[in-house]
Amino acid sequence: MTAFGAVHAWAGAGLALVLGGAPVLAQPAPTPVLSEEADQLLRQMSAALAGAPSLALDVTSLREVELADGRTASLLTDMTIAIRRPNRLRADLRGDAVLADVYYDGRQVTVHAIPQQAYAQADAPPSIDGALALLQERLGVPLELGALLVADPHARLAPGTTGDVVSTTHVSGRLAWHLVLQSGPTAWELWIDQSGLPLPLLASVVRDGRRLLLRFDAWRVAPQIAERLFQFTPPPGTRPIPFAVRQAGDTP
Amino acid sequence: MKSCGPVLLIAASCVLAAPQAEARLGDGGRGMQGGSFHAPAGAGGRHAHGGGPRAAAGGRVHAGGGRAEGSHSRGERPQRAEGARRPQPNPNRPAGVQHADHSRQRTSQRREVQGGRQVTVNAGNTVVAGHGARPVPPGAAGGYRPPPVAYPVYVGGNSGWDAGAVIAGGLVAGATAGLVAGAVSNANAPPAVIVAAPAPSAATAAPAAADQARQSADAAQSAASEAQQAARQAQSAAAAAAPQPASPPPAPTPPGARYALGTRFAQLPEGCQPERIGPISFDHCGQDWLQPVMEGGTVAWIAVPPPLG
Repeated sequence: MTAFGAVHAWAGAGLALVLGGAPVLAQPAPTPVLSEEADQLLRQMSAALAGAPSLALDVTSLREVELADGRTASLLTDMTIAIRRPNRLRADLRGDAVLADVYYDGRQVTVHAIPQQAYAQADAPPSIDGALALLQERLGVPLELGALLVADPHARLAPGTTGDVVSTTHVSGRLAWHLVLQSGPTAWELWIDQSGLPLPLLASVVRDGRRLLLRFDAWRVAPQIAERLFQFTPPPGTRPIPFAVRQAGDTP
Repeated sequence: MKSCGPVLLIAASCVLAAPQAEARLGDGGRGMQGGSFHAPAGAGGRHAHGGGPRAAAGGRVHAGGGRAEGSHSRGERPQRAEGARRPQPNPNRPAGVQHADHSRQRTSQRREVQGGRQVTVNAGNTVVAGHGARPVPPGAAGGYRPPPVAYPVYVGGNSGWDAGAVIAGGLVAGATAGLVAGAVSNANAPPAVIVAAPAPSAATAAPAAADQARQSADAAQSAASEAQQAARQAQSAAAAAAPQPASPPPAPTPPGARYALGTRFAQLPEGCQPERIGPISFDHCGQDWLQPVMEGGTVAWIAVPPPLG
């Protein structure tokens, strides 16, 4: 081998090492961050949600669950949710596993299980944030999108989250930004509308290997909502029952 | 409570170009008006506000007539019309993304018979991201879906509930002890802790029953404390004695009853009659007493000892 040939061989070996990912030549992996673009979009979405004095939305959720026999099934729920800041909330849940109306009038939360003709009431904090925490974390009511309805969604979503905007796509004909995000063990994706207010059109959350898909079918910003929609009056024949509570740390 | 007909009520207002969005809340849509997908001010020009079938920049309009739900099929996107102006990029939007194409917004319409007349129903200015404002599925009275039958058996539905006593309003002294034992012995069927007793009704809560309830609650609490202490001791002993968890002893079953205390039901067994004792609701099934509790938006039943002793 000539001297030139030897040098060439060494250069080739070095390139192979680089492509092969030799430890001595590998660059340190970049620290995962939330890209500025994604953070800006989350802020814009948060501002649009938090700035509305009232909101109403129709959502379809598809949630994977484990059946008792070990199989996986998806439970479908149609939700209509209305809030009026700072302390009114109403949610109608029509799903495979839950068929209930939820009321929050600023003082109490009420869950009315329609087919069983029963309702339960509990004292609630004086804000939507507190009522949502009570409903979701303690009482296990599957209001999956509570983080979007709080006073500052960005403060709830962004800290500890990494990811970026990966592309644009269409969600049922509407142009949307597609964010791929990670918060601890939870992987989630968000599709945010580009055509008007930056509101979410679709969300996917994967936790413990199971996916929750939320499809936001319609948003209504600042509608007039009658006070009586937040007040619960027991229908005749409906009986009061107590709440059961979840263990601390168990996520609904 | 009455079910909501989602879009039926707004047909006339949409035709008259009034930008109203109806609610699907269980109020027939009467409790909410206005609002739109976008901010109320200055957002009117983008959307088709009804007023008859029309296409937005070449987008297709559903003619209804057979589309009972007025829903868009997935992947059914409007085509850009020839010569349609392409939107200009907005420098304020994040780099590297496309600009919104407003021509993709659509109008959802269908034909329905209301009051014996054929009417055109628009989604109005509620621009839908999915399949439109959907009617409540047909089902039981009031338009609701029929009650769930098989799904409540899913694991996520009955796990994570606090194991412990079931009676807080406490009519029965033996309930707590039995349920605590059941919770310790059988992790697959945890009973629930009730933290908020139902509000007593003046019409039904007799003073005598309330006194009895209080006495029973005191007894139940003391029994619970004893049972919890015993359970802790048993757990400690079991942990020290064997590396593998010992097989749990069966939960106690009241004399003549079919179900062990603490047994959880996602649906009420047949042959039960509702019964109210003091402020507490029960279901009485032969020799068995079940107490309904609200658990994650639905009702579960827990087997408890007979409330009157």
